Order: sequence, then C-alpha cells, then structure tokens
Amino acid sequence: MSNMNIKGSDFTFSWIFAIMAGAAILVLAIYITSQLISSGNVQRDTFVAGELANILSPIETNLEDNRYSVIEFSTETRVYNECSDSGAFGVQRLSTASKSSRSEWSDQSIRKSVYNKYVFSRAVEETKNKNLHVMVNPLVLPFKIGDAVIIYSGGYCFVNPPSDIENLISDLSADGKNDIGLNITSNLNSCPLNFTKVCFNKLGCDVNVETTSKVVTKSGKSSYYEGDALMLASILSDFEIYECQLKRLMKRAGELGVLYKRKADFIEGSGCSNNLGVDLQSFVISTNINSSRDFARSVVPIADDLERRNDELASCKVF
Amino acid sequence: MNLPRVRYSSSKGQFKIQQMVFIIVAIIILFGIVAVFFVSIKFGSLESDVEDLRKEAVFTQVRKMAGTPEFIWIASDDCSSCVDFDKVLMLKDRESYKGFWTDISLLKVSRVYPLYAAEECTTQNYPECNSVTLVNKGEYEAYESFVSLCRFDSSLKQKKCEIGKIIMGFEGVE
Repeated sequence: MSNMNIKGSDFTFSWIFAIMAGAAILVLAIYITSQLISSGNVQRDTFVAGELANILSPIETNLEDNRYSVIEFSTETRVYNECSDSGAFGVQRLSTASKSSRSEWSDQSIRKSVYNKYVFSRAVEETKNKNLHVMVNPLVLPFKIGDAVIIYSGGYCFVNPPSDIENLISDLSADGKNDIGLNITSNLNSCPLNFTKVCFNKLGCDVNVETTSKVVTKSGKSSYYEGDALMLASILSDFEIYECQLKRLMKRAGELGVLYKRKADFIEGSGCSNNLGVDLQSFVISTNINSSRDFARSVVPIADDLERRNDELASCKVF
Repeated sequence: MNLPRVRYSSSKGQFKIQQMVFIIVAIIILFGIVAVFFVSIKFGSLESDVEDLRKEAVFTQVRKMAGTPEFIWIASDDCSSCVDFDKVLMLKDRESYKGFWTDISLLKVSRVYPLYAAEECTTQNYPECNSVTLVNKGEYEAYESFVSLCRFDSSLKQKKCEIGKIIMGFEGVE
C-alpha cells in the first residue's frame, strides 16, 4: 500500500512538473509570437505611412493646375493625419493602421514627419474599398506657396456649386467617367443617402459654403478660404486640420516672402527697379496668423496688391 | 524493507527531474536560437526597407525639386523645369530652412555651362560662379536632374537661362 503511494506521488510530481513547465513554455511562446506579429503589423503600417508620404511627391504640381489620383492599399487602412504649427514650418505627421482578416485594427504605426507637405483630410481617414481619393491643388498667393494635398474617402454631394468648381470636378472626373467621390446635383433630394451633402449659398446641408463671404461652415464651426484650392480643402477636411495646415502654409509663405524680398533687393542692385521690398515686407508680417479669419482679413488683400504691383513690372518681375 | 525502495524511488524521481530540466533547457536554447535567427532576418529586411524608402523619397524629390516654391522660376509662366538661381542664392544660409528637406544629405544647384573659376557662389561673386550648396552633411549617394538655371541678367536687363543641374544625395543605412 505504501509502495503504491510512493510510486503514485513520483508519477504525479513528474507529470505536474512537466505540465507546468510545458504550460509556461507554451504561454511564453504564444506571448512572444503575438508580440512579434503585433510589431510586424506596426512595422508594415509604418512602412505604409512612409510610402504614403513618398507617393504624395510625384503627384505634386509644377506650373500646372490641379491633379487627381487614387491611392490603392492592399488592405483596408486608416490614415491618421496630425498637424502641428510649431517651429519654422510646422510639421505634418502621417501614420496608418490596417485591418486584419479578423476585422481587427492594428495599432497606430510610428508617425512619419514631413515638413514640406500639407495634407488636408479628416483626422482619421478610412479607405473605402481599399481606396483613398487624392486631389492636389497648388496654392498661389500671389506666388506659389505649396500644394494643398486633399485626401478623402466616401462620397460628397455638391448641391449647386459655382461654375469653376463644377468645371474642375468635371475635368478631374473626365466628364463623370471616373468616380472621384464628388457628385454634382442641382437638387438636394437627389443626393445619395450615405453621401456628405455640401450646399452652396444655401443652408440645410452637412457642409454649407457661402461663396460671397468665402466661409465654409460645418459642425457649427466656420473657416475662411480664398480660391478653389482652399475651398475644397476646407470642405473635405476637419476644421482643426484645415486651420493648422493653413497656418503652416502661411509660415511657408512668410519664408518665401523673405526670399523674394531678398531677391527683389538683390536684383534692384543689378539694375532691376521694382520697389517691391516694402510690399513684400508687409506681406511677410501679415502671414503671422492665428486663424483662417486672420488669413482672409490680412493676407489676402496684401497678396492681391502685391500681385498687381508685380504684374506692372515689365521685364524684371520678381515672381 | 520499505526504506531502500523509497530511496531508490527518490533517486529515480530526481533523475527524471534532471532529465526534464535538461529537456527544458534544450528547448529554451532551441527557441532562443530560432528567435535570434528570426530577429536577425527581420532587422535585415527592415534595414533594406528603410533604405528603399529613403531612395524612393530622394528619386521623387530629385524629379520634383525644380517645381517646389523655393526653386521654381515663376517670373514667366512658360518654363516648368526652370530654376530661379537668384532665389536659390538667397536661400543659402537661411537658418529656418535647416531640416526642412528631410532625409537629404546633399542639396546643390550647379551650373553645367558656361563654367566659371569660382566654384561656390556668394553674393560677392554671383553670377560668375558655378554652384550653390544648400545642404551638405557628410557621406551620401548623389543623384542629378538637369534643369534650366534662370536669373535676372544686369547686362541684358531681362532673364537669362543657362544649363544646370540639381544634385541631391542621401545617406545610406549602415
């Protein structure tokens, strides 16, 4: 009887030991594997964020007007757009997260920082059918400042837009042959249900645009614009992103204003009388804005005046 | 009579524990070797991914640099690959632009023809000089793109364009 007990305890102990050790190894292996898979996802998403920042460069404009492109992702992807206006030029940070086959979103990737791009979108833009629309519009005020890169997904229904916006959408969509996510209609009721409705000079939509005062209102917040590029950027992006990117663009405009002022003074010494130095200095000062309202009030009138003064110069235009 | 059997059983148990410990240690070492192998492959591919990304970034930036606001000649609207050499000279030594072009170790605009004795341009020797260097940070692989270098010519009293190139370099991953 006692012999059997001893044998039994010997058998039980080694089995308990083996099971505990085996379980510990298994748990450790599963933990390490899940950590590796997770870091692999973050690594892939970081790579996608870097790629996204890179592929925005080829679709930037030179002297041409506007460009449209579709970015195709291999999986459903969220693009996180963060903007900071601190520093000389502010910074654009892009990161992504992807959807797994089990419909779970991976962790947000490491952010890719870019100083010379201005991405207007919602704070988190999610692909639709693995696609994102990209529209690039140059911002000229009065010289080229940069490209407003507008990233959007889903559908927008524009109700009675101005003719220049209608022509722009018609051009980019090849007269409606390509789906660029922007529909035009004259009747609000004919907009598809899941589309974001955008009214022009009329209330009652998700986004309301007042073209006379150049104000876009959505979610109770108003932002000011000048030109088609900023109008579309304001419609298709979050209020905070729009305001931040506009401040960044104005910082760049200020730096470019300094360059053009130095150039104006320099070529004036070489016999090109332009007298633009003072105007350019005023422009540089005006670009220090706190909001899009400041932009509309102070930058736009000075830029218009500067453009007119420069156009009057015959053979030695500064810009 | 039972005591020796107990001793025998105990040493057999100890032997089994030792055997188990050896197996566990062997398994852990095996896992360790596999993990080290996996991590080395993973980091190897990460390095090449980063290098590819940097190269791609430089290629696209070289192609598009002439069209950026700091470089583009816009005083006449008939030249999309013309660089404003006057503006590039003014850009030199601007503190605010340090760090603006990320991942770039060399950014230089050079005249191809005609060439002058002075290599680097300053406000004193301009325009009779060959290059304006905006970024130069140690070792790099360089890539070039040919452009027209335009400037205001004091003798002609109008714009003058010459053949030039934008040279950009990026640091390799070590």
